Amino acid sequence: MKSKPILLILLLAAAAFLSGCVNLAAVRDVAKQAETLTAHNGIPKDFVDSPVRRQSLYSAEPVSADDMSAAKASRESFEKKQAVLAKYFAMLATLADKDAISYQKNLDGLVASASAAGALDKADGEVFASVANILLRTFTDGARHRHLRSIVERCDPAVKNVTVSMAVALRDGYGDLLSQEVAAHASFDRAMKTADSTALQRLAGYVTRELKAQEEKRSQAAETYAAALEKIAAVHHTLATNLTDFTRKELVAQLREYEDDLKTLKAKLAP
Amino acid sequence: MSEAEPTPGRNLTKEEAREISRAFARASEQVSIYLSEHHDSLTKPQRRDLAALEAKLMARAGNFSAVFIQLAMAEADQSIAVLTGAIDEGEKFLKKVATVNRAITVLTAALTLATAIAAKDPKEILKQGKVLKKQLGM
Repeated sequence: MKSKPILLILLLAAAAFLSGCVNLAAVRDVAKQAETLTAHNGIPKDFVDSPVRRQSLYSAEPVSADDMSAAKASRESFEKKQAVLAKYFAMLATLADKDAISYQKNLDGLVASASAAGALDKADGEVFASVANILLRTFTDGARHRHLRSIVERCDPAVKNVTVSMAVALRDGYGDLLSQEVAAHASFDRAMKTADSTALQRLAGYVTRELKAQEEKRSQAAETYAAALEKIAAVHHTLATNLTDFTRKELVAQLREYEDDLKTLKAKLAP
Repeated sequence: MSEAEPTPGRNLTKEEAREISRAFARASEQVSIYLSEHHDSLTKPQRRDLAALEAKLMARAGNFSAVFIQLAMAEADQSIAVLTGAIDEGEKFLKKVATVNRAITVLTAALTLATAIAAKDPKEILKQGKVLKKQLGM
């Protein structure tokens, strides 16, 4: 067919163009890590569990309805922010994912139908499908990158503000809740020292050891999560200050480093 | 908290909420230390009352910590609105791309139906007609 060489040239030209401008894998991967870390749910759940543990060290009475309601509201307000931040990074990851958008499968179907209808020669059809896919992808990729750049630029202050607020809630708010548990624990210790039974005192020693280990673990987890949120803000800011080229070698290397850092932080938060 | 008391969080800054929380926690600890140091000289009812007060004061501390978290999160509300807008924008773009892909599948179904019509195959015409209707979302 006469049209075949022209189509092939188009195909090669488009492929060459694409290979030079599309590789946002580093952006996609670091955004995916940010998404999963942001959605970490162990700590906000503890905003409600912590008062229950604390109260149980004082008495057998349950936490009052008012206190439980405040605790639940704090958890809910934190989780809402988490959900939006996670969705935002998921969207960035999708926009940065070249494989998220492909027309090839549907174009192959179209070509098969066109061939069956006698509208297209089968060999030409295959070339047509490949060229059309690449051209559509090229067009879509351009728009994809523009959206990505524009969104990252506009949202950088918002990402920073949300992550800072969450880190403050963790370090100061949740940190204080944990300190209150430690104080309740100290009170329990003091009370047990006045106990007549040595068996009770021994039991208190055992409980103290266990509680201290848990307190330390929770405190470290809060700090790790706060550090992760700060790292996520740093990742985003790095993207916002490199809008002209997300594929620059130095930037890609930096993003890969961030990705490793986020993976390490995620491993530390694993139960 | 009784109904006569103000609702925590109203007209409070998060710094004030934290300060109040810490003051309650300190007061609770003072009661705890007093209780421990004067254990032998206190009557049972006195001990019980002080222990209850200690727990109540610490519960107040916890309540204001919860308020602190809510206030800290409220400070991010405007930023959350910005992120939500960006998410909508990104999703709209991805939807448009999906529309292009859908247009291709509709065209495919239409061509397949045309082939069936040309072949004068009633069963196939009926079948492909249904496929096309499905692709068009009818």
